[in-house]
Amino acid sequence: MKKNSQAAKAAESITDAANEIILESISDGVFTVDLDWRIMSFNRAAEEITGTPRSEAIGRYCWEVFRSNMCEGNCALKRTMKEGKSFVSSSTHIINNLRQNVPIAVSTSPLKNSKGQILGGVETFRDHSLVEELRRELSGSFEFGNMVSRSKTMKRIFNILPQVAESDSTVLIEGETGTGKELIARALHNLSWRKNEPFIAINCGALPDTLLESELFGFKAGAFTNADKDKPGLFQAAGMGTILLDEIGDTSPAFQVRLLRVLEEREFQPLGSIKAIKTETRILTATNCNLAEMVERGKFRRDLFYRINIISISLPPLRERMEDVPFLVEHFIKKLNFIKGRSISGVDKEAMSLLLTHDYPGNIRELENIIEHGFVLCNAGDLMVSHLPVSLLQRKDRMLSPAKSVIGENVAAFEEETIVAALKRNNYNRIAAARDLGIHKSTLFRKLQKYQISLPKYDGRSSRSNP
Amino acid sequence: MKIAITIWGTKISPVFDSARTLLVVEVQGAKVVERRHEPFEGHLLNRSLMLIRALDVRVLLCGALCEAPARILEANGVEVIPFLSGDVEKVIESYVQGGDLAKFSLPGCRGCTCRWNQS
Repeated sequence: MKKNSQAAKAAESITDAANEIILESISDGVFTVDLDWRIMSFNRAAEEITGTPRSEAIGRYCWEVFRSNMCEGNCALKRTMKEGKSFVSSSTHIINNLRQNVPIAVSTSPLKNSKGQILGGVETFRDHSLVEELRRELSGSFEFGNMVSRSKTMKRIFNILPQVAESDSTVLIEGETGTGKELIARALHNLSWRKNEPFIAINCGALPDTLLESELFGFKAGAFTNADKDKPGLFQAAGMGTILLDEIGDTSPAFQVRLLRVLEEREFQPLGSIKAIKTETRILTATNCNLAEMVERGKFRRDLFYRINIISISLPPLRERMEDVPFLVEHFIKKLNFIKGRSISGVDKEAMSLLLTHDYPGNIRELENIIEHGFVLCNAGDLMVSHLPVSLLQRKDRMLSPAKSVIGENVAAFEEETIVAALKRNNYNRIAAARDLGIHKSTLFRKLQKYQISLPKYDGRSSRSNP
Repeated sequence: MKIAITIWGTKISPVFDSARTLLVVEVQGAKVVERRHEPFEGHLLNRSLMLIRALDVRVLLCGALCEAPARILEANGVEVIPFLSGDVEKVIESYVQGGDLAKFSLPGCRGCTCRWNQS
C-alpha cells in the first residue's frame, strides 16, 4: 500500500516536471490567471510573443501583459470563466513591447479543481504573423489603394508608403507616363492624417507660368485685366490637405524660384498681393523627366531639386514588370465589368500572348485603354485578338505572321527598335548612341539610313539648340 | 494646458485602439482645474485625432499604442506618452507633479513610455 502511494507521488512529480518541460518547449504562448485576473504562470513562448519577461508578468493583471484589443470589451477569458467552457481560436491582435501589432489566434479554458469549482483560467495564443504573411505571399499579389502588382520592385514601394505617408516631407515621384504616379500620390494622401482634407493634382506642364501661378497661389482683384475679384488659389483650397505638382520638370526657372520659396518659407503670395499667406499643405511632386540629369544640364534648379527630392519613389515602366500584365488585365476587366455592368470573363490565350509581347510605351494607362477598347468590341465571354486595337494586331502581323516570320526580318525589327531606344536614351546624340550600342558612328549612320529612322533637328550635342 | 488620458473605469485603458473613453483634464501649474469625459473611438484614428485637436489637447497619456498612429499623433503636435498602466488618478498626479512615469510602465515596456522622437 505504502509502495503504491510512493509510486503515485513519484509519478505525479514526474508528470508535473514533464508538463513544465512541455509548456516551456511549445511554440504557443500559455498563461494562467487567478480569479482576480492576476497572472500566475507565463511560459517561454508567451514571453517571446508579448516581449514581456516572465519576472515582470507574474502577479500583474493579464490585460497589462497581454495588451489585446479584446481585453477591454470582448475578453475571451472572461467569457470562459463566466460560462465555465472553452473557446477555441478567436482571432485578435496584441501590441508587443516593440510597439508592433501582432496578429494572434487565442483559445481559452477554465481552470477547475476536482470539485468542478473554477479557480481561474488558461489562455493559449499563437503568433499568426507568419501565417498572415504567407497568406499574402500565396495570393501572389500586392494591393495598395487602386494599385495592384506582383513585382518585387512595386512590393518594396508599397512597403515604404505608410512610413512616407506619415512624414510631412516633400516627395518626388518619378516614372514614365502612365506608370501610376498620381495613384501613388493619392495613396500617400489617403494613408496620411490628411486623408479627410482635399487632395488636389495639377499638371504644371500644361499651363503657362502666369496661369499656373494664379491657379496655385490665387490673385487679388486688379492684379491683371479681368481680375475683378479676389480668387483663392489651390494652396488655399487644399488647406491642410495635399497638392500634387505633376510634370514639375516642365516648369519655368521663374516658377521654380517661387515654388522654392513656398517650400522653404511655407508661405506664398497671391498675384497682386503684398501679403504672404502661410500654408500647411503637403507638397508632392511628380515627373517623367530625369530631374538629376536636368540639373546637370542646367535645365532645373539644383536647390529646388534637393528640396523636393527628400524622399523619392521611382516607378518602374510596365515593360520592366511584365509579370504584372496578366494580373493588371484581370484587375481592369473586373473594374470595367463593375463600371459598365458587363460580364466579360477574361482574355483568351492568343490575346494574352499578344498582350505579353507588347512593350507598352504608355505603360499601365495604355494597357487599361487596350482593355477598354476590347470592352467596346466584345459583348460577352473572353476578349480575343480581334477585340484588341489594330496597332497591336499590326505588331502581331509583323512579329508572328508566318509569311513574315523570317528570322532576318525579326532581327531587323529588333535592331531598329534597339537603335531608336539608344538614340532616345542619349537625347538623340548620335555619337553617344553609337558608343552606347557598341558600334562605330559610321555604322550607326548607315543603319539610320537603312531603316529610314527619322531624327529630330537637334542632335543632342548642344543644349542650346534643343527645344 | 490640456492633457488627455484613454481610460477604462478607474484605470488607464490597456490598448489605445480599443479605448472607449477619453478623460481630458486641464492643468494649471501643478493643479488640475477642470476635467471632462469624452466618448472615444481609439480604433478610428482620424476621428480620435480630430477630437484631440478640437479639444486642444497637448499631451496624451495612454496604454499600448503602435508606432504608426503614435507618429501621426506626434506629427500633429500631440506629445504622446504611451505604454502606461495603473490607476488614472495616480498617473495624473504624478504627471502634474513632474514625477517619473516609468513606474507606471506596462510590464516589459519600461523603455517605451518616453516620447517617440526621444526613444
